Amino acid sequence: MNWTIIADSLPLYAQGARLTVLLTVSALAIGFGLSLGLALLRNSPNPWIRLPIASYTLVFRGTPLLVQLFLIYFGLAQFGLLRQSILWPWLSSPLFCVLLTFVLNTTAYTTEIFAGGLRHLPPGEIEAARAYGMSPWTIARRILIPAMLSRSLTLYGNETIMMMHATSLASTVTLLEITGVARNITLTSYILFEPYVTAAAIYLCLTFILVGAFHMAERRWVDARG
Amino acid sequence: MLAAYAMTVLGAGLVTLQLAAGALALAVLFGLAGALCKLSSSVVLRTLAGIYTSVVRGIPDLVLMLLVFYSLPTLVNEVLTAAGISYYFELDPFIAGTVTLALIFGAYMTETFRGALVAIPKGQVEAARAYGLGPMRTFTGILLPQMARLALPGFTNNWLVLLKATALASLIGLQDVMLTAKGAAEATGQPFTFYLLAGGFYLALTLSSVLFLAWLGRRLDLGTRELSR
Amino acid sequence: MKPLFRLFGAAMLIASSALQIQPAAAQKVLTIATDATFPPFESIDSSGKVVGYDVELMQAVCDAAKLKCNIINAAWEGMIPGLIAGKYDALISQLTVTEARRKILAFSDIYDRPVFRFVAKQGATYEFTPEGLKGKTIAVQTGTPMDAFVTKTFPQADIKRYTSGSAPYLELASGRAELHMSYEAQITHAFLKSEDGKGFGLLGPRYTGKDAPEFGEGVAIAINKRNVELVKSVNEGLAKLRENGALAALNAKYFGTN
Repeated sequence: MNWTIIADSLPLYAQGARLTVLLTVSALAIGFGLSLGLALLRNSPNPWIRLPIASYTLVFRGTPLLVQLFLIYFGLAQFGLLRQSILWPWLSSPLFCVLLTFVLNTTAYTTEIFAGGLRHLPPGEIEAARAYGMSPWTIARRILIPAMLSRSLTLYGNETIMMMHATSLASTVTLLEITGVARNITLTSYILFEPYVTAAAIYLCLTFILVGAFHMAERRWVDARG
Repeated sequence: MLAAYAMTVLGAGLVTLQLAAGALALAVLFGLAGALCKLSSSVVLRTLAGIYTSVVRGIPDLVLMLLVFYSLPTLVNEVLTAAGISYYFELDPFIAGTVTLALIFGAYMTETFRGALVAIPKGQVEAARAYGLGPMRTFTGILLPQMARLALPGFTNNWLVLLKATALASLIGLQDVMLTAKGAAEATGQPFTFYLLAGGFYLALTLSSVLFLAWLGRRLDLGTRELSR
Repeated sequence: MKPLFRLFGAAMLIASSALQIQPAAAQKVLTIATDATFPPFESIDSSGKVVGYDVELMQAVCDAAKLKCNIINAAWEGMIPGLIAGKYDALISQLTVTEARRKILAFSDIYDRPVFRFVAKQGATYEFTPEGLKGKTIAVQTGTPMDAFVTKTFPQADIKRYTSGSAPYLELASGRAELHMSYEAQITHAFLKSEDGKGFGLLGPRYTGKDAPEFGEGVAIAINKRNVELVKSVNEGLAKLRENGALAALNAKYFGTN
């Protein structure tokens, strides 16, 4: 066992953990905002609105994240037209591609989670709100979104953990988050045990923090409703 | 040339399917064992099952796969050498992939099966005991069939996630759809074409799984009825 | 019940005798790993087979030395640690013999002395000094001599590291990387001759082991340090191929030279 290499690389792991957290938080934050809107539209009676969203979530939930990442990072570069376009400075950055993939992926899952939370809402609640003369915007803000969020808190908690774990794939496109740091140490120090065990331990800690936070949130917002 | 690569990628679909099927079979066993442990009266078994599910679900799938493929044999062999045993322990990418996915989805199945078993009214077990059925007969004759029906939605979900997670085995060198697609992408300089093909393969699998399991769900629900409200 | 039992007994007998014969008669099959992302030396062909110069060479060495070899594709990051841990018996992957690697691995005799070059868009000019490459993006495969060299020599360059030997070419073609450093023979035969390689060319100095220690003594087959026997038989195999002209024929087949 050679733990001195690990001890020497702890600053690298710390940097990696920062990138992991940064990727997780930004993907989840952007995905959350997009999903709120998409979830409301997902249950729309108009098929022209409902079906495109349904197909989007179907494709992104039906294929591996690794395929999506490689399609966006390596695949898009195949098109000369795109390489000359104004989008290319963005698309040529691995960080941007990774974030774009993660956002598209987590938004697909979160949209379905939120839309599912909404589907079991008793119609009476909305009818009552209409009877009170609330505008559609007010109904969404005061009734639909709070109901949606509290009903899907557990599933959304799982999704945040999944997303945090999914960031480990960023190591496949040169980013040095926790897994990337571990893979790099095996390549330069030729040890196979210590780097991955260390990475696993860091992920476990991060997961337990997330789980704890969601338990607290559930006690605060879900149990309180009775 | 492109067509030959495309055929190889799709041909590797067999490897992906074998990996998924092998991992699923093992995961169901792990899940059943885990669920029974979690519901057992023994504190030790409950604690062990609890540690298993929370540790496995607390580590990213990719990291767990790297751990099983690279770190585990290293550790085992160091222990064997220290003990003076000249046996060499080794896992190839297929076995390491199967074991890792089985461990991960065994943990998810544990929760799915536990939830389903809890949902079966206790009175049924008591009635079975009163009729003189042994614990084994009670489990296989009364609990298992109902559990299968109740666990189906969760099972479907786990299977879909498992199918997609098989792609990670390409990162430890298994020649599955993903790795052959990567090879073809790099050899032909057409990454979009081949990753799209790989994506299409997984999508076709997940879609047909959803349709099949939905049909199975309707079959299993035959003879049950919703309580009138 | 009885016939079934007897059948079972017979099956056990056959199985156990088969097991007893196996170790005595069969020679251990050696697992030899290669990172098949480095054409024309090692790559996966359109039918999914591991092919290339190194693969043919290894097979010929095994035949000449009467070894049973199974050459498999392995992920680059796990290859050297995997050899040390005993996961693989040997590695053939255009591995450069360097002082750092000699400390942890045993090597066969050297079978080739590569030249290392940069490749970039034709017409582009760079000054190959730390100042001249400041801020330029250079793609390399992680943990290779090229990685070690550019990391040390051009610290102000933007170095992008990939775990596959082929990915840098996709990055070069897409414009994500301006420069890539690799073996001259690999750049010429795998990239410049391909569709994607149009408009690209070799540039900069022709580096060899004499220019920097990172480029090592040449390439060889890597073997576990404890396995002195295998080093000996591989070297015998290599010597035979040198004598009977098979090595020269292989060079001619792949590179038109000897």
